Amino acid sequence: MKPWIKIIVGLVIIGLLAAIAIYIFVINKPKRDIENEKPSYELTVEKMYTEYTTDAEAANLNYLDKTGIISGSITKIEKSDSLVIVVFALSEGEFGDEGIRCTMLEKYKNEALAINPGTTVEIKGVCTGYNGSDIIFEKCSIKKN
Amino acid sequence: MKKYIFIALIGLMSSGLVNAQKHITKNGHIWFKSETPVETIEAHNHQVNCALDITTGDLVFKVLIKSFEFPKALMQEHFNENYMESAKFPVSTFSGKLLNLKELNFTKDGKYNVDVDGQLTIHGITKKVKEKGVLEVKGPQITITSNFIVMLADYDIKIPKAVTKNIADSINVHVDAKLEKLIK
Repeated sequence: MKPWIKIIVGLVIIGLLAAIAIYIFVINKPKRDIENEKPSYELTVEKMYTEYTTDAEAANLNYLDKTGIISGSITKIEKSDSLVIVVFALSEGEFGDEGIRCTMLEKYKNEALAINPGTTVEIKGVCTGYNGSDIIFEKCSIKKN
Repeated sequence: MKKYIFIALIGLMSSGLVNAQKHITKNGHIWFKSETPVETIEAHNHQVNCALDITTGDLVFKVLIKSFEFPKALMQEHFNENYMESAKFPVSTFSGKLLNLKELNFTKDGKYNVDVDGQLTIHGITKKVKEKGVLEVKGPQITITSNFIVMLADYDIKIPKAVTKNIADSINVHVDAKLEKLIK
């Protein structure tokens, strides 16, 4: 085999392997690590709730799918099936209490359950939007207690 | 005078009773499955709002699309950005009625088949739908379960040609909501 053919064959193989590696990497792209992601906003639950109830579309531009920190006084901690949800109730509507609901990450569940209502906390999570009665935060961690 | 106060009190109490016929949850579970020979994709959402008024049969569901959790990050990204355009259409809703309300007895534990009729909004498109479900009364708790099929084409959800083999045209949707009496 001529040397230049060897080189070409070698390059093609390397190229193919790289393509496969990139494909596997893209397909198995790691999930977002919300707990350690840099927060892109920080505000009080009252301010966020006011923004969403005034203009949800404008608020979505700032918060939807973005990781941030919200702070406020906890109303209650809810347990439902396997979920632990920290609730900031700020108003009342067709679904009872309305406000901000934060689903806790597995490793923060026990810590969340131990918080007394009325305690002011900072919660970090990703905002998945406003469903007409509540703003939902997912993958939440507790920053300060 | 006393008589009037008494009547007013009775009036207040009974109006309270009439209002307290709503059952709600904010942690309903909706999941869907897309099955093709190439790939099975399943996603779950545990943050579903559901309210049922047992005096009128009014039934409402509200779902945030971004709250659907997929096994793989890339699936979730494609689902939100390309198929559901969840930044543009962040909420899906169902608003309808239980058709056979009269056959249901909410004071007796049991399972009832229910017919539901209403408007389903997905991807910004609203369609009239009629589905079947099961309603289970267990003490103060009401559980609503249903399985139905959503055709992607009905809601103008476009799947790129490159992945048509991976994603089914019809998606199996499952609903499971445990409602508690709303106490005001």
